[in-house]
Amino acid sequence: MSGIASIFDQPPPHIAARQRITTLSGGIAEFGPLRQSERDAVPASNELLPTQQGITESIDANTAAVAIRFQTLSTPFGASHHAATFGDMLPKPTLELERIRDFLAEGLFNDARAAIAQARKVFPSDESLAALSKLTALQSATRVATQFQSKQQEFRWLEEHRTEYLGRWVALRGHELLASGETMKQVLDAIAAKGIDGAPLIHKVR
Amino acid sequence: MLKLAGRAFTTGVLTYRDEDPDSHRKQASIYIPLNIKQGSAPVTILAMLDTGAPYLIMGPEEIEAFDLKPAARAAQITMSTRLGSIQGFMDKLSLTIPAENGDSLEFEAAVFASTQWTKGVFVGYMGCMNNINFALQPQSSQFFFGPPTV
Repeated sequence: MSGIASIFDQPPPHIAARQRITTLSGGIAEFGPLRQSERDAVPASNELLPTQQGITESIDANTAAVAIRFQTLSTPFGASHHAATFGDMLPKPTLELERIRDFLAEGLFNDARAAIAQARKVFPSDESLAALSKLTALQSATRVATQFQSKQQEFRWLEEHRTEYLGRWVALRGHELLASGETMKQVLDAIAAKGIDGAPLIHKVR
Repeated sequence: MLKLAGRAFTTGVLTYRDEDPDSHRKQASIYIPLNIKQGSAPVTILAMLDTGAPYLIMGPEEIEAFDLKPAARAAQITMSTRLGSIQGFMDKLSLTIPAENGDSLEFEAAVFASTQWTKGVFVGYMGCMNNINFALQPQSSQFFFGPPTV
């Protein structure tokens, strides 16, 4: 089995699947994507013979591992295929989460939302997907019949006092300095302690 | 307020600032106030409008102040920004655009928060401003906004 473990490199960026498979037979504990030479060696039929109970006796663990890896790479939701074949031995939506993470990193928020919805059909109880579903389910905008003062006085205060408060956080209401501090949190804590409301402007003077 | 095909397109308006609020550099940008609830009372921060960026982007001070946390382990991402690729995480935040006239607007925004982000708060498009209607009148520095009509 050490031969199997040694052929698996770090996956290329677009294929980030590392499926954790418990021992089926012969000691395969964990493996990842194949090198191209191993992929070329996979039989054309690529039939996945393992049963729900594990790898059949007629295929040795090496060949089965190669077939399983290829199957994972060749289907968009390879993990789901394996879940169907092996029951709950591969419960992690690793490929799907990687794809969703890529969408989020690219700012493709709607694509991420769609991928999450698709993945949840296969992995309905996965906690990461549930959390991501909650993240991307933004509530629609609501009108609130409340008005606020413009911040023109605060802008003037910033222009007039920039030099003396450079690098510090300030809380302003109109032309009144309510608090200042080295961090935003210090200023927020200070105005909370004073019970200040009215949406003061919190700003770092740069 | 503004109308489109007879229906309200925007329902509130505020005055934005069209240069760096500290007047450090006379760099043309659009800064709008955003109210974020802190405890029981909201506070106002200034955010630069950048429809070329996704999400509401925040840095280390805001992470601490607003107690931002990764929504999930998979919400930790590396994003390409004007500072280069930076590591951070996704969370979401309820905001209010404070109206000087008309109605203020509450909505949720997807936040990308990073301790490596040093450029202040940016209001991006996808996952943020694409959830509302908005328009600008540069001659009077007015920012009109309202809930989506479609």
